[in-house]
Amino acid sequence: MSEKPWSESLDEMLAKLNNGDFVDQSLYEFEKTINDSVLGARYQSTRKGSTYSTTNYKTVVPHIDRAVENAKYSSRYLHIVNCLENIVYHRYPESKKDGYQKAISYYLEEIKKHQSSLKAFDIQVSEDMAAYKNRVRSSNTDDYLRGYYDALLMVKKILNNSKLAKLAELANKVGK
Amino acid sequence: MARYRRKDSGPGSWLVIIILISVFSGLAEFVLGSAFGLLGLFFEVIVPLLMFAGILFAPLIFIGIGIKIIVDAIKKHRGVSTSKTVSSTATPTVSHKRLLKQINKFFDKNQQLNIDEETYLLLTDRNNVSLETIDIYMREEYIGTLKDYFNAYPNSFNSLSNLISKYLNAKNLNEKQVVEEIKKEVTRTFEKDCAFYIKELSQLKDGIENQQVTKGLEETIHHLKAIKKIEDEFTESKSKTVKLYQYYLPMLTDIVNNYKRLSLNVDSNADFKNSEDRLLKTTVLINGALSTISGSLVEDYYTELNVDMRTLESILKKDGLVDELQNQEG
Repeated sequence: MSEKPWSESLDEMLAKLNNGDFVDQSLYEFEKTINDSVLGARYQSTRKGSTYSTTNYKTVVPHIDRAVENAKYSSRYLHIVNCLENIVYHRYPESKKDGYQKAISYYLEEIKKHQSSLKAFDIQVSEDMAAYKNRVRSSNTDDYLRGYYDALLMVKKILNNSKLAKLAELANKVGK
Repeated sequence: MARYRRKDSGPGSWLVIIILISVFSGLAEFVLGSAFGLLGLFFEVIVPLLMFAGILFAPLIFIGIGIKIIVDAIKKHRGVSTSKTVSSTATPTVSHKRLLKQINKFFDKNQQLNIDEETYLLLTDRNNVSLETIDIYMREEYIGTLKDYFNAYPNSFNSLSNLISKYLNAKNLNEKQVVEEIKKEVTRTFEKDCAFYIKELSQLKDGIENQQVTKGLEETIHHLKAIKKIEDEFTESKSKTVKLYQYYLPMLTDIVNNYKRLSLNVDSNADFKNSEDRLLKTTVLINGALSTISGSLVEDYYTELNVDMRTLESILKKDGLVDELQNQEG
């Protein structure tokens, strides 16, 4: 699978942490899990013997245009639609691109239907993800399918970020 | 071929065989004798000792287990969580339970609970009132459940609970009445920058006794200082760190605040342990991300620098200055 950008990996890890997925891990084990993920660093040594660290970070999966991703939106709907419409496919394998784009255009249509019921859209994406996860596992060589699943991960990430942005707004209002 | 025929019999070979048998049988007797001797020692001395120790300590062990079960049952009955899990930070504590009760009562007669002019709560399942079944709406749009809010901003959730509780305790309020006038002047989280969080975390760090926590926060501050340095020199990199100030650092400071608040309340020991565990793991996670970000910013900075140098070099070459300089050096 393609390597993920840091924010996507961090979102995923935070969601898992909140769900209690790392409950049984000690701090040491958790640190190891993080170091093994995209957020970790590799230590290499030069010919002269001195060591330096390099990150595991690589932008290979499609990403959202940075200006669009960082903009402020008055609604979740606008946030989601803008992000879905501004995905950059730089260095993404052509064989997976078809599936990816097909999924993105499908969910763009779907969210327009669900503008007034974003909760239903959230649930639909989660259910689709679970279904496609199984399909990807059973057919690991189908690039169209893997591209489609990558896109689903992106949709989920956008949904999560739009949610977090609004919750942050509320937290800011409520204060400490 | 007759030359190579072996002589299988003869007095010499029989003698060798007899000597070998006697040597190996002696060795075997020695090895087996030692092994059975040790086994005998084990059964005669160590096993009785173990049995004696078992008889002596078993009642104590059983009493200990019994006390633990009784204490857990009492705590459970009182509503105090004994599980040291991260997820259990999301389960309602006693005050949350009271809050949920109040909310449930409110929704018996009302459709929605207004937080302010544009934010309100809706109950999705009347038979199961929990943080997961209460949805938050902002500008007529679903933004998450109370559980999502609690997971992301545990300390701010406490303030929200107080606001709601205050409202629900007040008498003679209309269905549409606003919980409390929230200050109009809002300082947006994403307007806070690296310097702000360095200062904020440095202040929060003071007074925390747990060294693992302070060490983690010191590492965060160290990474933030490195990022600030890059941002100051290479202003274009700021676009890459917006999400940090938008979501991740507000989340971390909120968790630290919650941890400090709980540390003052000695009664909620289980909650404090959960909060500590969550804070430590969130710090590890954020530090991992910060390290990755600063690494990628440095890489971008040098790439940009190389491009600038190549451009300069090509301009110099065009003007014939590179060769002149090289000649001068030579």
